[in-house]
Amino acid sequence: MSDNKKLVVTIPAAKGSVDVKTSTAVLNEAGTVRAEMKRITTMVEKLPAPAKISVPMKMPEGDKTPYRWIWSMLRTLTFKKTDVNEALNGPVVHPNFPKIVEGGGLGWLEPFLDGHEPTNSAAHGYFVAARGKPAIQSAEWREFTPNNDGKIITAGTKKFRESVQLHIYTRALYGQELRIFLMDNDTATADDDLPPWERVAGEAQKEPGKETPDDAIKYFTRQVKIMPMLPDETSRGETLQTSDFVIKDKSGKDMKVATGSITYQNFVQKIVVDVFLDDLWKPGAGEVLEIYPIVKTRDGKLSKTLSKCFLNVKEDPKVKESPLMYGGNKPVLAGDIPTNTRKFQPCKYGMITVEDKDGTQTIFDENVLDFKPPENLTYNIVAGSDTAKKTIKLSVQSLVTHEDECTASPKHKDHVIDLSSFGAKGYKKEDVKAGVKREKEKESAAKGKFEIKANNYKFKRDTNASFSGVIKVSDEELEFDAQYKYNFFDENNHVLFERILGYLWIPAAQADHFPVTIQTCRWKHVIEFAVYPDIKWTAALAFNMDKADFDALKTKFAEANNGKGIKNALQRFTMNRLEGVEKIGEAAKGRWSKPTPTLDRHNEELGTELGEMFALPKDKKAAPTPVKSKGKFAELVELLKEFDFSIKVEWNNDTESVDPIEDMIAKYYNVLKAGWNLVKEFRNIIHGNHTNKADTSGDDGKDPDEFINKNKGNPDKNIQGLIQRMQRKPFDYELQFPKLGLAASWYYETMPPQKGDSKLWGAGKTVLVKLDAKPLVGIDLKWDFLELLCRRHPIAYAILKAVDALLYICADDDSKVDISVTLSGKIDLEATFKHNTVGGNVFTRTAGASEKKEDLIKGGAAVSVKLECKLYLSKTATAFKVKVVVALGIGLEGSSGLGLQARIGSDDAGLFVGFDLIFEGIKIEGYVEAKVNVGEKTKEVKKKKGAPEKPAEYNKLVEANPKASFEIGIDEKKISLKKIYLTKKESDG
Amino acid sequence: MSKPAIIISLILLIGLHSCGQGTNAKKESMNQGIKEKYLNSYKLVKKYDYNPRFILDFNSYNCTYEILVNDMPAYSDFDGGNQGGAVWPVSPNILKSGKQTITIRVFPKVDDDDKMEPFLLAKNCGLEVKVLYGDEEKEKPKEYKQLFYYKMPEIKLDNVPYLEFKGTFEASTPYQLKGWGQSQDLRKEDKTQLTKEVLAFYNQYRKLMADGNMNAVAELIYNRELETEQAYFQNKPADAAETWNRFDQIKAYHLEMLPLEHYELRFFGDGRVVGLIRTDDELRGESALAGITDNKYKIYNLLLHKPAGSDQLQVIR
Repeated sequence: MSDNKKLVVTIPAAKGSVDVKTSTAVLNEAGTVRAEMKRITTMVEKLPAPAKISVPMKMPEGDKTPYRWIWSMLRTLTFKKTDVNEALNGPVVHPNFPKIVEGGGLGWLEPFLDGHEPTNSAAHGYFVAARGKPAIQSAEWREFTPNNDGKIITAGTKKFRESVQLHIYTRALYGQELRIFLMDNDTATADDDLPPWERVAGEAQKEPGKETPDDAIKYFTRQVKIMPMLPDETSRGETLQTSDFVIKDKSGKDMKVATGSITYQNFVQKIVVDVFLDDLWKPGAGEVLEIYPIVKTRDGKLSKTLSKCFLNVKEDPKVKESPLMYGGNKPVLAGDIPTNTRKFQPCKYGMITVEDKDGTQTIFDENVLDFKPPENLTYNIVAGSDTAKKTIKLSVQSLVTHEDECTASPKHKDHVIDLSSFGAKGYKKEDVKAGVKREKEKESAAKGKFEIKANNYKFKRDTNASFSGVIKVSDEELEFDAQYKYNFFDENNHVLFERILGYLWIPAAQADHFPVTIQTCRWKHVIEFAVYPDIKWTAALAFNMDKADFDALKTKFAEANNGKGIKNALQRFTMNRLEGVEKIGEAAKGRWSKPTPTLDRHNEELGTELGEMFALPKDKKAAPTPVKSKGKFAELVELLKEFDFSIKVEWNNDTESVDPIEDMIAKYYNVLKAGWNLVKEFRNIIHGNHTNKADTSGDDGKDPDEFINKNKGNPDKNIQGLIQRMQRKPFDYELQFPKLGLAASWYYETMPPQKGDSKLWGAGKTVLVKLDAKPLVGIDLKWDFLELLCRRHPIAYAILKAVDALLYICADDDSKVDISVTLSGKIDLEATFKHNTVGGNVFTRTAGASEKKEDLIKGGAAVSVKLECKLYLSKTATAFKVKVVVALGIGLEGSSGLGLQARIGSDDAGLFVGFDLIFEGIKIEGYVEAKVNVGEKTKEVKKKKGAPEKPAEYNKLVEANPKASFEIGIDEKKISLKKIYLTKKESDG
Repeated sequence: MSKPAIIISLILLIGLHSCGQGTNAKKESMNQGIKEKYLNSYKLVKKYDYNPRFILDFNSYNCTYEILVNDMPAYSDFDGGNQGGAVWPVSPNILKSGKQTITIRVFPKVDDDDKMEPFLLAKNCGLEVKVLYGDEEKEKPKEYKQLFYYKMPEIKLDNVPYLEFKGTFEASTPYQLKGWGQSQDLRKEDKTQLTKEVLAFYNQYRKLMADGNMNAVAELIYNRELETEQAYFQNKPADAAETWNRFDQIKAYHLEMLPLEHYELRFFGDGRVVGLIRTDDELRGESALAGITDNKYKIYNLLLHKPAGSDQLQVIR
């Protein structure tokens, strides 16, 4: 190759762009690029200013050099002269990039002269790609064949344990990894996911006692490829598939891009998934499946549900084995099609790591296939100031910055790491000659401390800070001390409480950001070091609780937090009411002991406000109110005014702390209000206020109102009796008062993300909570179902059916029917959890973390419900079978067809309590009837196998004569109540 | 009617039955006789100031079970095993005032095909049984008083196949039924021979049902029905008429009687009562005498005893 010639690739601006630095040409859509070996003129270095750069006036005559060209799709950049594309010749060529490889395929274009080998270097060649308009187009189920050419069986029926193939047609997604979720279409319930499960020698790996293997991976991952067109694909339109001609490779494995007339073959862009129709899907999804795919890109931006492309699967014991039986379904088959041009630039680094005292994180590794744009990355640090600083060391590894191969100006050597952002914050670069030297890190333990006393609080401050504001930096390394500067003290070392309180809701705390650019020709990364404050809040709340119980709670909380810091904090909590020492307002006055006139005034105001807010008893020496257990709602409201609360804040690695209790109480009135709201919400559930009108679609259209209105004038006294019953009080209840103890800590913590493509640890808000509620909500409640009918409760319609039938049975004697729901029991919640908004549930994350942020504690609480149907009749006895769904995990008094789940979680807005009221298929089946006289018992003959299923929702009376038997049911209903936040700064409560 | 009077009437009636094998005219007259006997039976039922009705009140989940009062079947459920607050009358099991026994046997739940699981579901099954009583004319069912309460302990192990509880309660009745109290202990008899006799009785009864010969059936169970009416204090003419009408109703079913199969001979009433009880999945625990009509099983109680001094099996419940 001649040194004074350069490859110039051009694309019209409307059709794409060319990046000369990285030697990459990207077409918007498949098409032609112009490539020319152009003569270049070297600039004269000392050209006198302001003279223009003189370009030769006359271009040499047309270049006739007989260049040969490599023009091929690449997998590895290792082309040889034998890979020459015979269709391209001379200094100017117009290679065509085929549509079939749009979206990810990379072509390599490099001229060379006969007798030479291609260099495979970006300095002399060009990468060519085309974006196209990505789409997931269609899919077909096919018979399994090793050649991927089975006949179409979409909408057909296969048997479990057979092997099939799913062909998914795509456009402009070549080389990309797609996620394929197989779903089972269920008409009644949500569609089931059918996860890929591998088998070893035909056996799936299951935990003992489980029916199915772990379903952590819910989808197949496959790379989009191109494959020879099948005969039945020739007539599919452009909307269903993308096809194109490419040169058939000699070996049949690789293909070269065509412009000339060599050997063509028609290809189709698609994914072929080998699918084993796993009989292990049956326990989760059922005996009969209707499988269809949902296809998504990795970033989720493209997603297509192909519900019309379904395959029915049924059981057939005869099918013993099939080709995929032994290996099962492979979740991931990684592809080998490179899609990132930068991998071929010579000026490069191979890896970036960041090290702090928690360990080393790999931020970038070029050997790991990553589709995510790696440019902007945030490295999160939680630190305090001075002694609580954190030393951070960034390393750029496998760095190669040969100047001759570097295309940048100035060259990357000595400019790999740019840290100008640090200067603005007072950091200095190490300069040994100038005497600016970064000290080696010292242990900050065993240093002298002094204590200051302010307003009865002790503050410990370290006298021997090892903080260094000096940054050590080279091309391969950056070392600095990350710190978060609090300004909690004024010049006289007095605590500025208002500033501290500004950090109460930690997301409001400002993080410091230090962007650092790391750059070579091949890679560029901007790593933003974000420094979050290490401030930690710990609060404890006791309500209507015995002191012994609360002490036990504190101990457990300290254990859950490894005792660090919090244990001491908890020991200082004062149980005002329980210990009978001081009332809240008094506590406020006593502790603030007139340190300054300003604080004193605040104290006075606070005392007055608190007194008004909590209506404190006049007699300040009154004995503590005894713990109350049961009563009506109004009494609870009174009781809610009494509680104990304490809060403490620590920062700088827990070395400094303050208890801003009194000032906090006003804010924490919201906690109380939340408790109160919780009870109010519960009362709303009871009244059915949260529920919608019963869904009567699919039935005979009767809704309770309509039914009642229509029958108002009916002479049938049964209906009248029904209406009369509805005038009764709907429920009778007695509340079991909450006894609530809560200890919570919240602070920033860095943690590996729970999910997602990012390898970087995030700074998440950790909420550590120990909650002891015995009960959280307790109630003894009796619903009168008949009354519920006029309240449009979701269950009312079903019950109406029952009553309708029962009234026939028992004629006119209404005293002999007793249908009621007794909701007895309570929600006891003893929970410890540690949740991080980045890392998820800290306690469970290693054992398969919960995916949803909210699902932290679930099933820990449930209410048991007895649905009772009693008929006290002289001559007939009917035993009612109540279908029970024991899914809540706590089967108390049986018949838990209705449940209440409590869950505690945290999201970006704070810590909350939420409730789901779940109806789990209440069903009354009255099919055992007996005549007292003549000893006759009636029982349904079991449904014959294969008989059609009765509809699950609102089953009608089985037959016209309700005396004989009837069955009612209701589909599962879930009503999620509003979250009640416990730690929200501005509570809407 | 005094107690001796009832007994005399019974003897007379039984005598009538045993003589009634003559001509058609005689049969007709006998039919008239049994109908009249039923229609007049209310006169033999006595009512008192306080007429207690005894009921079982039970809840269950994830288990099947049988409940015996005085070692006589009171209620069983082998059908899914979830019952919400059902009540079931058991007065005919209580013969007289005093200590009564109750036996509760808890079995694993059954699946949709009635197959029984091998073990009780640990930590997730339960049964609660109450015995209540009250006078239905004087008290609302909610005011009934509790005589007995049993709540099954939590099953903590996962290998418990079966649980049995035996208890007692005191009951007070104004009536006294003869029942099986004085009957012979059939456990002392040769079991093979006894099985033959019981089977023969069941076959005879099954044939009568299949043929729709309800008069003869009525004759066989009169004693039981009378005791039942007394236990429920059914002393109105309409009560007696309703009992009699039941025979016509049964005849109208056109019952397809099931063959006598899948049964075992079981003793009840401390060995004084015997019956054939189904052991198959679908009718487990039920009387072996059953038919099908209109896609429903009709199951007929048939428990036999031999009164003191008699060598013949008779219907007792």
